[in-house]
Amino acid sequence: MAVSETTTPPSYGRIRWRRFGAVMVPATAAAAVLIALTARGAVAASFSVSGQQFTVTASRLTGTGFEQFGSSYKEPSGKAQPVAVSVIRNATLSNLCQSVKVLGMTLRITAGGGSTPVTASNLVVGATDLSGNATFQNISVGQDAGSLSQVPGETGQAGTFGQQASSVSISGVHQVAWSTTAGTFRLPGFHLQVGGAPC
Amino acid sequence: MLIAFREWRRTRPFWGGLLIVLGAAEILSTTVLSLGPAFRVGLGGVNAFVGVIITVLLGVCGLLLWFSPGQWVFYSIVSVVLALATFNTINYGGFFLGMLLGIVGGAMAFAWSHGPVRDEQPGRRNEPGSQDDHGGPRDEDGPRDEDAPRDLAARPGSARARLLRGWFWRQGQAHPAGTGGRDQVLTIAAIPLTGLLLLAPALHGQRATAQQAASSLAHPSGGCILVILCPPTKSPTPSPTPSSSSPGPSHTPSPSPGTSSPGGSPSPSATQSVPGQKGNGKVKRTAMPQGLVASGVPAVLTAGTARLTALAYDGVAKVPRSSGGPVAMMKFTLRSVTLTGSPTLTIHQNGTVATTTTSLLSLRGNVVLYATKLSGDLLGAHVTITPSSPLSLVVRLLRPLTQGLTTTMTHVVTDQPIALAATSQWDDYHISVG
Repeated sequence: MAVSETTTPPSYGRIRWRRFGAVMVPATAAAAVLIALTARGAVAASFSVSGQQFTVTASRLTGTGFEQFGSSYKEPSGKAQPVAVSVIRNATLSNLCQSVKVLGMTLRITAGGGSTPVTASNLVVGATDLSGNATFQNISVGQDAGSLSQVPGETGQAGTFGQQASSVSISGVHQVAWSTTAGTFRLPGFHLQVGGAPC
Repeated sequence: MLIAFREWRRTRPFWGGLLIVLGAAEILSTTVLSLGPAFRVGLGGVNAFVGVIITVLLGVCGLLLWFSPGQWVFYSIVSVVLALATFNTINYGGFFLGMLLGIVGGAMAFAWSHGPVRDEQPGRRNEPGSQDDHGGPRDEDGPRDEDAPRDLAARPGSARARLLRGWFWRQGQAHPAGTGGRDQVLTIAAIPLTGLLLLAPALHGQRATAQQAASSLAHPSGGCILVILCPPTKSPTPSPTPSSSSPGPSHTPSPSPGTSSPGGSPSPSATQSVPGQKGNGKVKRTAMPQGLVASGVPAVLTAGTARLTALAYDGVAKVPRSSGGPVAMMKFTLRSVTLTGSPTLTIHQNGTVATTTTSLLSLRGNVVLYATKLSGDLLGAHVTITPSSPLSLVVRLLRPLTQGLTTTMTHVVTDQPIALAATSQWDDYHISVG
């Protein structure tokens, strides 16, 4: 573009690519350090996705502080998408697999495959479908979702149906989720694959 | 018009700012866009909110590069640091893509300069228009090749030395005002430092919160392969505009620390409610686990078979509701309940149906059941018990008998069930909504 310009006013700027590299190199190094630390599970990441359907699977999920209630997620189109919200205060997940579609590509994230599981705090998952074999301790089913107390600060809408337990263990977890939020997510063995098969 | 835009574009680090803005928009597009009013996100949301703030600031930096280009060095460095900070605060920097756009954009903006303002031979600057194609490898090589001979020509005496001293020196020469070069070198050096500073509190804080940190540090899983998305030369067009205030704040309520939760009495353990209160028709409110509030939506639990061990009917309890006053419910205490024959919990609320199915549902240890209606086949007869039915009186009188037995009921339907237990097992647990 702009091939016709032969005399240029002095105020025109330009990009000097060596200086570009001077920033890119340390920035890339810093990014590599962050990624490596995250992949080792040494640094937690924060995770918050909604607006598209995605799949979460894990061979085993254990957690302390469990709540579950119904809610609805409002799609950008304005349509309400009802979801069952599961809240876990401290969760560990073995063989976690998450697949999300971003810009038409399937992103597949796996972690916690080895001896070190994924850990997450304040995990909030809004799912339309959730399955597994579950065991709960100190369970309470059918109480008002607004009165749930296992995860401080997390309650459902008052008057609706809620369920909570002091601890939960689910094997063979499979969720079709519309939103996931985790305050801190530690992902040892973090692996991001672009264009892979969904979980 | 086009000419005016080109003029405007070339007098500021336009492409760098554009990439930064696009990066911020991409990151926001991967995260929370809108949540219904009932969807409350607490502590997790606050942490995610930090990521949203960082991302919005990143977008603002991109815009400032356009509208306040005089400070481009500062904004570009801040952009790079913020882009790096998004990785651990918001969806791995929008699944790498947004972070990369931010870093590349920040670096490009940093590398932008008022070319012809150099102290010597402004006419010799190569034609700036060709640099506007930010992605082209042609440009990447072009200026570099021209830079060296020009500087050598300008100061022939120390050409070799300057070549050895490398680009740092050249940075200094780029700004006759004398302030630019060294400062920028320092600024560049500050990037990894800032990264460390960002990381340090994260490391520290996380260790305090999650006990598992120690183990994960102790056993770092080796051999992790990372496939990083290649930096796209063409910027994608994510849907939302990164208007600096739109997305996050709506869904983040106050942090609401745990201390505010009523009495710190989680896990309505049934123990406190069972003994003593041998219901005399009306069970006192105090007999109920603290804080138990019945839901107000229609819910039904059905099962083919229910095995009830050591069942005792305690009478009618007034269970409070969040609105509409307390509801009269039958209260049963048991040692255990095992439901088989496709136990199914169906809940109608907000115009949708949530169904929970299992193949086996068991409750053990200090089981307390509340219901407004219980029906099923018992000893060959179909019975329906409600708090007001005469049958409930019979069941209560049979209490000493039922307490010593395991009762089996079939075709069980329980309205408005509330169940408390020390342990519960749900085999082939499956929730589906909608």
